[in-house]
Amino acid sequence: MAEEKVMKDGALNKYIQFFLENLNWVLLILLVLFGVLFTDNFFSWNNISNVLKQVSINGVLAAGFTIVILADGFDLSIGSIISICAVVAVGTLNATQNTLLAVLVSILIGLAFGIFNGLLIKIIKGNNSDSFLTTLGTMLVASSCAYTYSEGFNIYCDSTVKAYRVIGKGTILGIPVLIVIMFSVMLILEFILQKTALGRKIKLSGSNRVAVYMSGINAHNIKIFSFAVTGLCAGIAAVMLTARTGVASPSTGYGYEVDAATAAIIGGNREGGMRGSIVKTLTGVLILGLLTNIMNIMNISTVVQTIFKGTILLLTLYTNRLKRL
Amino acid sequence: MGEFILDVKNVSKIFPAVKALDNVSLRVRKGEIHAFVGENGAGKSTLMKILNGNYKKDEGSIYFDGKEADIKNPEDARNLGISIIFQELNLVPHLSIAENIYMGRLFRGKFSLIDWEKVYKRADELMEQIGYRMDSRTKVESLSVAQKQMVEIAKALSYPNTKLILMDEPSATLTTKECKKLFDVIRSLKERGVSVIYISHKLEEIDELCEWVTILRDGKIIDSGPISSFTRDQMIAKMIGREITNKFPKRNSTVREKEVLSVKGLNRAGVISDVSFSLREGEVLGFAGLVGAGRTEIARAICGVDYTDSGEIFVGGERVKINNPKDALKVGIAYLSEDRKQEGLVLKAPIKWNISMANMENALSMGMINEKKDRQISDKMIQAMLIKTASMEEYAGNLSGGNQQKIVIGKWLNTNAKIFIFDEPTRGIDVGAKYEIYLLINRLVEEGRSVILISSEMPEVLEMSDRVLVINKGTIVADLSGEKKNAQTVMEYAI
Amino acid sequence: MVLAKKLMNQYRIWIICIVAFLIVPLFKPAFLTVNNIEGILTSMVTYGVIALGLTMTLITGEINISIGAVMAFSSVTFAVCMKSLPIVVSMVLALAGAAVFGLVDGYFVAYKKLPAFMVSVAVMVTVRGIALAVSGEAPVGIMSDTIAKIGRLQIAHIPVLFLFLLLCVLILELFLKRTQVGRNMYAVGGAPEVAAAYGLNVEKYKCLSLTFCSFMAGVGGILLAIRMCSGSPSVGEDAMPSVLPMIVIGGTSISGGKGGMIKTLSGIVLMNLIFNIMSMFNIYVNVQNLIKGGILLVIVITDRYLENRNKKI
Repeated sequence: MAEEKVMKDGALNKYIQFFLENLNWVLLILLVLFGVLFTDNFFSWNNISNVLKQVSINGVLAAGFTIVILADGFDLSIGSIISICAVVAVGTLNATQNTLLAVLVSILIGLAFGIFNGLLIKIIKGNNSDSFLTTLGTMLVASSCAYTYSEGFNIYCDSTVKAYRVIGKGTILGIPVLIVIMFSVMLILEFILQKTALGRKIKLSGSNRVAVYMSGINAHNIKIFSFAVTGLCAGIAAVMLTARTGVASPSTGYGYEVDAATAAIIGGNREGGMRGSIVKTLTGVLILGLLTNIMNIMNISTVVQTIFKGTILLLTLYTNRLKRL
Repeated sequence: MGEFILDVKNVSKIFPAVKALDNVSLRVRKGEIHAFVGENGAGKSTLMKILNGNYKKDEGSIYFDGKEADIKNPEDARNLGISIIFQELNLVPHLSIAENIYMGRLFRGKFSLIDWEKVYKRADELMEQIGYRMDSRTKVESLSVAQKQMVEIAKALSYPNTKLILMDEPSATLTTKECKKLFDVIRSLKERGVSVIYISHKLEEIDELCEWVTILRDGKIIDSGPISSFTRDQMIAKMIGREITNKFPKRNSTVREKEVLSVKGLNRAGVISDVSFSLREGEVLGFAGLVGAGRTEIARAICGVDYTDSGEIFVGGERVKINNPKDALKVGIAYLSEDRKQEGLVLKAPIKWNISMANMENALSMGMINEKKDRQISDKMIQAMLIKTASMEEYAGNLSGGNQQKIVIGKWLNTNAKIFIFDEPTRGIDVGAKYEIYLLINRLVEEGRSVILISSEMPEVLEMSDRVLVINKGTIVADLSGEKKNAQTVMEYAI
Repeated sequence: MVLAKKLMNQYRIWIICIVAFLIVPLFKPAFLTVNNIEGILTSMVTYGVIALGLTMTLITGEINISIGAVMAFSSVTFAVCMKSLPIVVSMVLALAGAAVFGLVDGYFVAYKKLPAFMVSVAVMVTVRGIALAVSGEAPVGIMSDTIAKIGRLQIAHIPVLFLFLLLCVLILELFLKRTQVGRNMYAVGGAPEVAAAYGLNVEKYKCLSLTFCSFMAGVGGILLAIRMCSGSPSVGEDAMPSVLPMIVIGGTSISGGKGGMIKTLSGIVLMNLIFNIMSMFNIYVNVQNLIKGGILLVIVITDRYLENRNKKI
């Protein structure tokens, strides 16, 4: 384990630290400026709500992922959990015509897988690289379950159940439901993170779980909680996705874990980061969303966008490390 | 000149809080078995590490085999002819004996490929030379500590020009039989003209094995001469005798009758055996002993940080089950680890968070963190402990050792803990802060709490404790109070 | 008796394979046909060479999940280059690219001490994008008779590509067991502090192993392209989940310091046998994922549980 240089003071260092600490805001502002210059009606309600709708699902996932990252873990299985939640949700919807039940089922399955992940880490008293391997295993198991349940086919939402689709396409007081869900989830998680003892414990245990354990805090349960949260968010995201598209398949969630991790990290969160927050994650989500938006408008292919995203992820991983806190 | 293999002249080494070596000079002859004795912290390890290139000396010069030596790293030391065998053995577990011996220097044969035949043969030969026949193909992880030490010695000898081997407490974990074997090997080294510096606390062993002894205390050489010219008592006296430079604050309380903690039959295979003792209200109970004797292990076992095989713990007369630090805190026991940076604090977190870490409920209202309460608690602690910091938002890693320790104490004061176990609380702390911590300990017991003080500093553990338990090889060997609570007696039992 | 037991333990994977070969034909005679065996051998090749590369990385105590993306990159780069460049040059270019990605990985992980899995996720995303860009987002066909011939070439009914895999195993095993650099890999992974104390440049070795892993992923991509006569940017999505179980079941430790190429080969053989047998019995493809996940979980959990048995946190 490399000794982190926790103390380094000096004027230049202070400026660099300030810049690094707020890098996400700098990027966001740059992108917004870009958007204003290169597109018409950037600040129109239409455009804003479009962007927000597009990032809403990733937003929910990234928020959950932030909790896991701050607790010094990694969850590779989110994508597959979305898939299994999606197919079971839609299957339940079609079988029972009950929207509420379908939503509940999705959330519960997500929660179950999340707790499963957390328990595995507790049993092996694992660190962050162990959680990578265990969630890889879970990813395969969940994916397999999804395929088995749906027998490899797409499941289409029963078109007679309008309520479900409202989640994905409707509005509340003029605001798209998807956006409301994203902000609700983010608000709740940010509240937990910044205002409750649990939130503080998460950050502390991500930085030094031994010291936290010795101080009488159940560090294992904190890990379980953080994985449970990601699972829960995966369940919510599954509902959002299927409600929007109207179809669930065993590959519905494929690849979503990468975007979620990227958003959280670009936002400036790192394991045991005392200043970690969902606000930062929101900036990361927006940065990703705007990047995509702007590059689409500039007719840059999705391929180049991917390359761009990967590079930014690598760079922010590095800059996050340079930050003192 | 040709007589001495090592000539150390006026070497000093200064660490932030303490002068570990003060103008040290000594000489080791060729083919001599030379003992280093001294208490914990006397400077023996520091000197070894300088000779081995792990540390850089701040002053003085070192002459090896007649020439001035500049040892910048262990590689330099090895090339020069100095090898060290640490207590924490430097071996790669999954690899074979032979491979560990010749790490990085395996013999090549045809096509520049490793000639394993030759490697194993040479390794076998080396082991045999030492007098320890073992199949060098065996994986190191399956060896006993004694056998691993033999491998380390063979490793030292595998460097052709090794002339000096430093051994740090090699016999600490050996049985008598294994010890005898070790001595035979060391004598055979002497036959070959290799000098050995042997650090140990076991004075009988030194008497049996070594020819010359150098006694260190507080970083200075106290005396150096042939073994035969010292009696055991004289050696102990020189190891511990000192003017009291540390002042210890007076305590205004007496130990009460009530038993707050009672431990019976604590056992952990290979580490602790049959530990039983009791602690009374308002008492400071000292745990004395050599490093590695098991004091920390006992504390960790009591507080649920380590697993135990058996044992019963009673707090306030009631039997309790402590499986983890949370349980310990529930019954009022707080453990302040000797490694305060890794186990006591979250360095990257602000002081405020560290102080409230063990009892966040105090700073909550309606489930949420009440910033005002949180600040009040921190303020109170910072004042009470005299923690020197610009603000409570300062992150813990930025403070000095003394202040860091105070934060840890403040953290536990913020709980209902009645029993405080301090593990080396003043290690690496300057004199001023040390005194303040002693004051805090006094206040704790004056207010009716009880303290177990684990310390390797003789004056500290003697002056601050009402009663001292001496621990040796995982068991309590003495319970000293009153007149018997003195340095001489403690040392006798500790060794 | 003790010797027999020891042998059984050491070679248990091979023994399982042999047992499978004996038992399965009793139920499905089609198993033992030349055709089927050829199929098994061929299927081992692509992920097989990648497994060898990842084995090296695991031995040094690191991990690299960008292998699938690098494989895709190399297959399309090879295919695209083949349109106008000779075979060897195309191979060199593809492999060079793969190695560069490995270097980036190695640099950030070994020298900048970033967590290996996160860095390789970032590299994976980027390289996948590059693969898509190079190929124009579609498979790229290779119109070369030579390539087609190599892909189908057999010696005594054994696919040449498989022989290449065996060659790699032998050369790499030799490297690991009979060269100083190879032995140092084990020291670096098993006890990095000790290795450093003995003058080994731990960072260099870790960087090397990560670069090598990507390089082998590149080799795998080229082999796939040869076999399929086309390079595709979307291959390798399941590379990591497929390759890792092969390695861990073969006996290489995830914690580092233990393992070997022949061990990995046993894992490659066993895993491919299992999947072949499953398809013989018409077991659904998704069960394969369950098995991969199950093996991974069981092995990671037992390995880690045993290691952390005495700690409480």
